[in-house]
Amino acid sequence: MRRRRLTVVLLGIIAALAIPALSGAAPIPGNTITPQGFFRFCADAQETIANVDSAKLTENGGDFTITNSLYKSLDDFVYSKSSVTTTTKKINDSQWTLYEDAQQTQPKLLRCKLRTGESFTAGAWPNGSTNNSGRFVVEPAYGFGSAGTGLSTNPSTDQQCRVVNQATIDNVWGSLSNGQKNSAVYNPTASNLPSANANTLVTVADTVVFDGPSWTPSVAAITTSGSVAQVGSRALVANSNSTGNPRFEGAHYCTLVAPEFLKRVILGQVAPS
Amino acid sequence: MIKTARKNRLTQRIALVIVGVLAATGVMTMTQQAAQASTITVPFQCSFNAPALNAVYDLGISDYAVTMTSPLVVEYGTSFSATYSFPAINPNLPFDITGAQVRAEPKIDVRKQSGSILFAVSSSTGAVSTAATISAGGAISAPGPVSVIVPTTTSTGSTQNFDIGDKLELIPDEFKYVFTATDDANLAGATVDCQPQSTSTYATRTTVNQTPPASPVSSCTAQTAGSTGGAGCATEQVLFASVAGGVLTQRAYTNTTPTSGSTSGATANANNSATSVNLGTVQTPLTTATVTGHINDIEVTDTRGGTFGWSLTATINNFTGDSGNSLNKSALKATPSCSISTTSNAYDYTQPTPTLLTGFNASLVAPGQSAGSAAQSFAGTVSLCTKNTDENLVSQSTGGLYFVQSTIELTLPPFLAADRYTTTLTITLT
Repeated sequence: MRRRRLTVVLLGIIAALAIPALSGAAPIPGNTITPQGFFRFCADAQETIANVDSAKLTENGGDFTITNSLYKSLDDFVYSKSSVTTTTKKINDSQWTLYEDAQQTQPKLLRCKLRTGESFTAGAWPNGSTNNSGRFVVEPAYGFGSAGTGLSTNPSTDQQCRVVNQATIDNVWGSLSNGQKNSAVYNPTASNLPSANANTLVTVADTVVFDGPSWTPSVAAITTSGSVAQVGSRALVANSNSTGNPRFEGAHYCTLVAPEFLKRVILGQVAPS
Repeated sequence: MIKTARKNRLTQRIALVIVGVLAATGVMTMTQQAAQASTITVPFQCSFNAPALNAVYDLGISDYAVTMTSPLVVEYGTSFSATYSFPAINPNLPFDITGAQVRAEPKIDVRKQSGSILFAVSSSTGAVSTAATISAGGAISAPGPVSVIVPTTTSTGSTQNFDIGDKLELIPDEFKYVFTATDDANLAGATVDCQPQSTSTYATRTTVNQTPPASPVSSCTAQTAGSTGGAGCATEQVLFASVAGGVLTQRAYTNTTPTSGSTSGATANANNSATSVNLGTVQTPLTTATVTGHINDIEVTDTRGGTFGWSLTATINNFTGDSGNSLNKSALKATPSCSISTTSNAYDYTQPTPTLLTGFNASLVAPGQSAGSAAQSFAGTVSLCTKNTDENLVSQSTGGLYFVQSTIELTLPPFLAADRYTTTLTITLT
């Protein structure tokens, strides 16, 4: 009996230690209308998507930094590319927000240009590769080469964008009062609620495209299938050395629902769109 | 980049001062003279930087009207104060920034007239705004204008040394709004940083001057009995030469190019004086007919000796016929040309007939003239030529001779009543 209890305890410790390494989990901001949420949403999504070992990041004592460049103009965002800066060990992501209103007070959907986990250990582009132009020029490297080893705990398999959307659902639902939950129009839990059946707010598998023109067109943040609201994502995945155009490679792009819009849909203030 | 305003230079009367010395003596005074203000519009790429969050919000490239001031003249050997103001920037942030205190940090590039940028000067001494909340979607600004100190001399051999007579051009460079405090630690060190996308156009120009000694020395003793060598001694003579501003004039000269589309008949088909334009004779047409002729040539002479623009425009009334018929003024169109005069058409405006100026040098004429657009209808006022405030680098004025010509095209409707149609072309120089 004594031996058995000890075994259980040890397994529990191992599991607890393994959580960050297995998931590369990062806290997805529960909003995009605070400085932290606005400026870090895609940077935090990067950790999740590429299974980044959080311990490798500067805020946790490591030497890698995820920077985020936000763009006011969609055209500028389209020109921008995710990239790395090898000397300072920076992963450089891009972000653009679609708002419901012209005053830009109601975020609806975010577009994130991130790096794939596999790119972290890839090296420089082939000589003579075409770069971007003007202020969108990036360092001609997919990743950090051997210096990037271990930065991703699972570099061969990125997370789907839906994982970030699920975290957003969890964050938003967790922020609601019991009264709001009981009157919610959509319910992400497995239990029926007074106003919404179980599992009427779900994520669906990413729609994966492989080039920019296929990823850029407008996309719904939330769709419906019958009484179920579905949060999907249009993803672009282009691994290093896969297309012959290095400036487009090592890229993992996601469209992600904005927490504020998701909350308004859950509470029935706006329809899914 | 478009110049939107520039205060005209006040110095129509320029005094040239030469100080003759045998050896360097005396201490320069440090007076500064009247300031000039200039607002120019420049494309800037602005971004909101949040270093504590490792994030940059790229606000895109937009035109901003920025204002700079500097003295017209600065004493050689002294520094001077310039200012650089930037409009408020609205990054459309979706959150309030409480407890915000902001300071402006301007940076100015300095070059000699039309040269390359020599150095940049900046200032972090701008006043900090009182703590306030910048609401979501609100604009960010700071107290201004902020003074920037521009040196005119530094160490020997430095590219920042200037000579008497040099013109220093001040060009807007990076402009920052720096958050010195906010309630949110995530915004520590935040800035709004605007980078100019062009640094070719200056905003203000300051001339390095030298004030002549108030009491020139007229005698001195170089040596006393039995001594030789040494520094010697110096006397001073202050030389003055004055240039008085002249005039802005226009004079017409006969253009004898025959018309096309008409024949020489009752009205001839070429101008025979500087005050008449003959478009010739056509038979009442079966279909729309066009006659193309020329107004008489006009030469604009500007000897005002300062920084001034001008405009040459033309208007007509409806044509009226001897027999009472009429032709709308919109039937006439003009296509002007406007160029700096050459040695073959630079005429002395004081002479009633074309009299070429001896020794005319077109390279000393200020640029910046531009002809009005092609096929302008006389239904309204026609622009023949405009001159902006670009100066000639040698003359330092906007003066010169400019030759203006224009073809005119008269459209005659089919079956037009036979008559002798007349109108008066009024050409106005302002």
